[in-house]
Amino acid sequence: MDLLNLSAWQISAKLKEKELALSEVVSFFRARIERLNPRLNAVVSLFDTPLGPEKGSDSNLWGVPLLIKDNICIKDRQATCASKILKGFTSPYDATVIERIKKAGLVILGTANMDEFAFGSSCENSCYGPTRNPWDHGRVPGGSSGGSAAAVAAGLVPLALGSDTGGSIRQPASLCGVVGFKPTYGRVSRYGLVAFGSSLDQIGSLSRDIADAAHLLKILSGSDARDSTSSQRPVDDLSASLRDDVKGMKIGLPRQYFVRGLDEQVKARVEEAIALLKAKGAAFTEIDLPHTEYAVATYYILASCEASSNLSRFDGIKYGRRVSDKHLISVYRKTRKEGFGNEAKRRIMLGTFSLSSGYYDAYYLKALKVRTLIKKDFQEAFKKYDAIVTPTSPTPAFAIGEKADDPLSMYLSDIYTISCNLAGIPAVSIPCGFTKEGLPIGLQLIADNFAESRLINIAYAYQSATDWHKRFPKEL
Amino acid sequence: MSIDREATEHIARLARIDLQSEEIDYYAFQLSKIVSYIAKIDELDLKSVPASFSPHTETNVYRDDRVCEFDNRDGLIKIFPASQEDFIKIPKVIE
Repeated sequence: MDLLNLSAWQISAKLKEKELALSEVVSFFRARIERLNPRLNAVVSLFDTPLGPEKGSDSNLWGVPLLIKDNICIKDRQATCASKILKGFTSPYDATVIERIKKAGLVILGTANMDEFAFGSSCENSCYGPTRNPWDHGRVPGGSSGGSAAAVAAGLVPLALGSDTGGSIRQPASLCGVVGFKPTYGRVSRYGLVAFGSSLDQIGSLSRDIADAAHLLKILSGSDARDSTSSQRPVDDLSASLRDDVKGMKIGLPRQYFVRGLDEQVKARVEEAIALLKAKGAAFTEIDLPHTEYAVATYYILASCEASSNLSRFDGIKYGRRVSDKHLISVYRKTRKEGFGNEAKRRIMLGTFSLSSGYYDAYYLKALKVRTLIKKDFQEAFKKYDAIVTPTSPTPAFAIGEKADDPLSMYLSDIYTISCNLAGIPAVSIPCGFTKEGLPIGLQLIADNFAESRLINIAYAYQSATDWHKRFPKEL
Repeated sequence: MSIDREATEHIARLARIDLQSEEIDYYAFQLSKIVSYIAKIDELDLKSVPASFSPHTETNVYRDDRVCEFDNRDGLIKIFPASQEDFIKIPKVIE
């Protein structure tokens, strides 16, 4: 049986019908990881014994293997956030999403590479070295969930978990040609996700198609007493939205996202995708999100401030790496000097600066106010429109090393994804074609808070008429 | 806005990160560039705009203050960077 071309939910159905054996499925994907990962470097740790399926577990994805981003805690397994400061750290507990995945009977094969502490858009900032884009090994897979996206794109696993603070699921999904779903802030518990930006982070899925994303999102979602920011709102029946019907849907196209800097081939593929959805009955209108140009600046102030606070816990005292010294402060300073990579240091210092005396009002407080304006832009748009469509990334995958010495240029590659995290709204990237060089391009769908069903509906309609999501890179 | 060597050293001190001399110039240059960019938000009139600390309406979430057992004490002890029996060993706090 051609396991590679089955969706995750189809693999599960065949396991339950006994057309496939669990050992066959697990061996197939483990073998692909062993063969292809040395070149791709998408997988940080392949467990000797996969975790699951647990006795008594059940779901639409029972028996399906997946990878977990290295910043999500799995009990008795290492969670290093791709950082030297956490090398060897073994988590004493399961994240809520891991508990839910175990109850649903999925099989955890291992952990996926990422940018250190989720700081990055290329998966180059990892203590394990960069992950390579399966479509062109000289290019980045995107980040920070680059390992997760690359693994799904290359068929190492049908599913992976990622986290998204400023686009870290959607942008690598776009660059790798897979589906990357960021839920509404509060939809999925953050308990057990190593915090980067606590008002921005969300765990989400990387998958080949939207049906798999819907099934996995249903498993992950729901309120959690251990995360006080998690929503009490009941979870919709997300699979009911897997319908090929967008007739009458009103979709906004923000003028500010189709400007200079958008690669011509990305623009062309996105316009073709819009035409396809129009032909299916959706109506598109140009809209304004007037504060878009301030989103990157706002995000990098707020995210860095939250990061500098969240990463103060990595001090060599309670867990992780410790560089010994006679004096307490020197332990902190030397441990953090040796343990953190350049981008981590840069973001911590940017956040520390923005929160420091004399600058707090000028940067952090102001950025919080711009956040209000960006939220209002979306609130206004969603009064009239069911969804918003944009490119996910202004360019296809760039070369490894191309932006390594220009952090600002790297930050600007998040320009289309960042606003959704500031506003807390859900968004998904789905593959919508390729450049003539064979690099994937992603289409971003954005909806109002807790309107994941609408995103699933539009994505399903699009994927019913296209096969971009079914393609695999050549095994180079 | 330019972040010079002295400012970078001050920030690194606050952030509890040791930097070598050549690293100070490296980060000073990059931080200056980034800070100049993020100052873009000064273009906006924000006097009457409220701050949003969170994407959603912020309300406090309370729970009963109940003592419960954590079920993996050994897992916590195992990850201490230095230990003696079940105790974590840390640098002297009060000199």
